[in-house]
Amino acid sequence: MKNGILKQLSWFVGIMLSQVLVFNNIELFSYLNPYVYPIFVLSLNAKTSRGGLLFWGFISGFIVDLFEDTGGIHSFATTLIGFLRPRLLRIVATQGGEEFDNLLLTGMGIRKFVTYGLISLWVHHFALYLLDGLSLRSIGSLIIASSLNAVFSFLVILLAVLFITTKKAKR
Amino acid sequence: MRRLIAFLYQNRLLFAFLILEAISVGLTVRSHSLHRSILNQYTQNSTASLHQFSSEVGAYFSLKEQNKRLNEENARLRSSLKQNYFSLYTQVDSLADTLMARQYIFRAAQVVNNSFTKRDNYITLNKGKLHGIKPGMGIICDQGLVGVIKDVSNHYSTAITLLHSRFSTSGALENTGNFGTVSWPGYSFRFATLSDLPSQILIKKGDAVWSTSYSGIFPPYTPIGTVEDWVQRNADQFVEARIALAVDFSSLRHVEVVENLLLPEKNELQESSNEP
Repeated sequence: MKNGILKQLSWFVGIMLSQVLVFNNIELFSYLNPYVYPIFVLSLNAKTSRGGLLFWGFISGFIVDLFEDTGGIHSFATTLIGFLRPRLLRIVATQGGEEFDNLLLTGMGIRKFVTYGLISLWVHHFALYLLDGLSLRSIGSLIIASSLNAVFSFLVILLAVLFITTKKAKR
Repeated sequence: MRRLIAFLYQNRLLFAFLILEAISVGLTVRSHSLHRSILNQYTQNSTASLHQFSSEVGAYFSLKEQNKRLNEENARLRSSLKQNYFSLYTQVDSLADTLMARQYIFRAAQVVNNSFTKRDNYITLNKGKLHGIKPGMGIICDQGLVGVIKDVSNHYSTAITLLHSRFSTSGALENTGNFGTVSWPGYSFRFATLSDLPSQILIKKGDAVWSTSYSGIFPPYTPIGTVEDWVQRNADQFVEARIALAVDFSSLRHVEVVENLLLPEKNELQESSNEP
């Protein structure tokens, strides 16, 4: 149990540092910016309580906000997916996700992981962009921007997950 | 009362969710207001030092380009040295001149955090209160106008750049001297708008836009950009020009903070004239 918490914390610190130090600096075509840190909330153990999901969602968003100087838009978006996660998971899972070994590619299989990840990330990005430029963007450009960026973020996450899991498998 | 408590308890998750979302929205709204949240004042130093570390690592990747730029600037400055001019007069005025009072001081600073893809963009500089930086000072770089200092801590300062919804300054066309308001409509960090230009003037693509001395924040003739295209709104006597920015905000590293020594005097005088 203690080991599990430690593992979760190091996973959290690792994801946050890579988001803040590496992924925040990637700007593809000058407007695509990958946000990979929502994967922490999305991949939390299926047994995590709903309160725990809310807590981790808020904390992870809040940290990114501190570094990106964006007020509270990331906290808003990740709290939202933390709240909606049981519902999002129900799209692909029948037993609340407990039938999977983990909520990543290796545990869910490619099709379910893509469905779950893409939809969740899109919700996250939509909330993010909605709060970021409320007065500026039209609804059309909001949808386009959040969709493109969600796909981009998901591709980055997929690459990162593949990289990590194949490394583990080699060992 | 008991039923109320039972109701709250039953829906505690929903309420926790709503409270957290309200906090987030509150933080967002506060960060948009000119006064930063108090929390940020405390966290600024620690996040800025991590940013500095990351920026120091990142600096190596563009070392070549930055060196080239510094070299070019060095060459330009060196070529304007007095000793490089052959004097046509037998007598030259000394530089310690009683006819000239120093108006602008420049302090070199490095950008340790930079954003340019959001609607409101900020940069963090590694110079602060201890170096004499004060809120409201202008920032320029070798390419042109960058932004205005917003908050300072002891060692760092944050600034809003030209790429910010609240930033506006006056810019003048090089050819005609007509001035308008420079602001940023969002979308691309390469373009800004110059609005309120009188419609009868002749604009050409490629016309340079320079800063004016009206605001007193930037030295006059600091490049802002060049005219790209322009539109005249119907039933309006004003033209709005789209300008390609002189500064590449995506590779900002070395900047200079400008202090106008005569600005307090100018502001005081203007205020006293405004009083009835």
